[in-house]
Amino acid sequence: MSLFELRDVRMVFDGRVVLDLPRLEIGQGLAYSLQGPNGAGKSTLLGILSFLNAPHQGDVFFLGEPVVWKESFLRPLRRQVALVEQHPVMFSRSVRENVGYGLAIRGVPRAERDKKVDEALELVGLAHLAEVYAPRLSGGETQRVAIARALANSPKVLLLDEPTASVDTQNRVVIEQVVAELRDRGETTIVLCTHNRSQAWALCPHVIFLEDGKLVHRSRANSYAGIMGVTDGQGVCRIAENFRVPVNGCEPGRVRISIDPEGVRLLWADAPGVNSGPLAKIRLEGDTVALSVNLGRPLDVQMSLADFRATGLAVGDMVRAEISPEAVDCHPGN
Amino acid sequence: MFFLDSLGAAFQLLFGFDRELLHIVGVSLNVSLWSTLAACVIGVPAGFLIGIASFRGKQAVITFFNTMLALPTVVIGLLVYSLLSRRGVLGHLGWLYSQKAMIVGQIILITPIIVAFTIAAVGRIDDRYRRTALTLGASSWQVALVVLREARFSIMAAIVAAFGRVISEIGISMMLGGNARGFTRTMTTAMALEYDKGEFVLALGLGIVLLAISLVVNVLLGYVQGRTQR
Repeated sequence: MSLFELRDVRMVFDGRVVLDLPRLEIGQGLAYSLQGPNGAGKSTLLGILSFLNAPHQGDVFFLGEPVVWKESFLRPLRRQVALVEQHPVMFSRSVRENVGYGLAIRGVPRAERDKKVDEALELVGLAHLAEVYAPRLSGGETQRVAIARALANSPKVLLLDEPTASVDTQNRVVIEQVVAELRDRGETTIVLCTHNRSQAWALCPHVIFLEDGKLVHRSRANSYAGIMGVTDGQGVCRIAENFRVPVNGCEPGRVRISIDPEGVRLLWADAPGVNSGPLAKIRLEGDTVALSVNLGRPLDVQMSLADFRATGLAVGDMVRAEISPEAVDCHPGN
Repeated sequence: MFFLDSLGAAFQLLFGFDRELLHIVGVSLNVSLWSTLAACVIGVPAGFLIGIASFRGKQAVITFFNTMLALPTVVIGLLVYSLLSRRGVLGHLGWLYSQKAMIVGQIILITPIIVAFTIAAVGRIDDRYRRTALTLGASSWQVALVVLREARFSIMAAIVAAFGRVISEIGISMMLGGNARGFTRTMTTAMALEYDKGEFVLALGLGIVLLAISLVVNVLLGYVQGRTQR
């Protein structure tokens, strides 16, 4: 049975349709990345999934039961779902009290509550900050405590809205580890809203891709079928005439490969050639830039806004894609 | 020289433990504390509900309370006088020229202050607090408590401002209390009396005593805030 099922759900603001989902199912215990450009309806969808905002039209089913958008009906549902916002706020009390808030309002006894709070803080690596006044935490610590606060209540669903968009590398790594651990346990359904495609790929096997409020059926980007061969001692997968990808540790023959968009460097090129082609698309996605190069097949590339500015590239420019073998995954026999 | 003499008089009054002065200060504190307490009981929940709820005419209600901030004490004095005078609707209570009458007048004076400031305090609270509490499973009542807790320092500031307003007002105390020595004489009415008598030094000395009390209240509030924020 699906955990969530959305049928003909529509959200309209000021006459503009911001979400239009004829059908969307979210399975129990699975990890989904929620992707799409700014204004695609991702946060609106999270609002519905967290039972904070009722859809203007359509039906939502949770564990097979239709959701009735009345406060008395919604509270038990909200207690099974946890939303961590992109910029979470801490209640003006200690970290322990923040993390234990959900348990306290559920009437969980103090001793049991403390145990669960300690476990949740341990999971995000912040047990040593339990007694600190929460509003004094840094941005990254706040994000991690917010995740602990959500997890302390053992929710069925964890909704994460850009949890690593405004944190430093160290905190990003910890948050990604927490999400990976939850995904591997398979007890909690995860919906991770992110602009970072490589993060989405690494953490979530399933993708919900929205564009202009509509569900776009998009397979994992940069996934190609090709033929493995060897050139000058290096394994190379031939995708198209001018699209050849260096691959390590993959047997010759038909294979399917995927390329991490962040593992590709773009260099200026003079003329079309192997792994060279025109830059077809540039799109700002949060604090990163998504680009697409036409190599006979589209190759998606992702880089930080600062790196992109440094390249000085524009649509139509001829570029050469330098693909690191470490950025390539090989799936033989596909 | 005039201010130095006044300061000296204030010290003499404070540390000489003059019985009459202590009684005047006692009446001032008694009337001000009771009126502030009653105005809090009415004003904080009212302001909170108005601030947190969405309803038609909300802006008009807010405008009304903001306008009431400018209500002159003399108008309140006249209104309560007309109610409590012998021929008034509440004349049978016999409260006129008593501390009770002063308290009633002062409640009318400061309740709008507490309501208006509480509305503003609640309105300033980031909506993410409400959303966070909701998504953690809080009921409407529990969400309200979260918002109230986050707004507590602004509400406390409103209460302190209201206390400052009543302890320093004179119109209501004079009109409804009558400045009766030993009964309804407060620091401000005593100051007015000393001014009438030409005792400017003593009048200003009483003013300094009043400010000293206000300072103690604010220091206490600062201490409570510091303790809460750890």
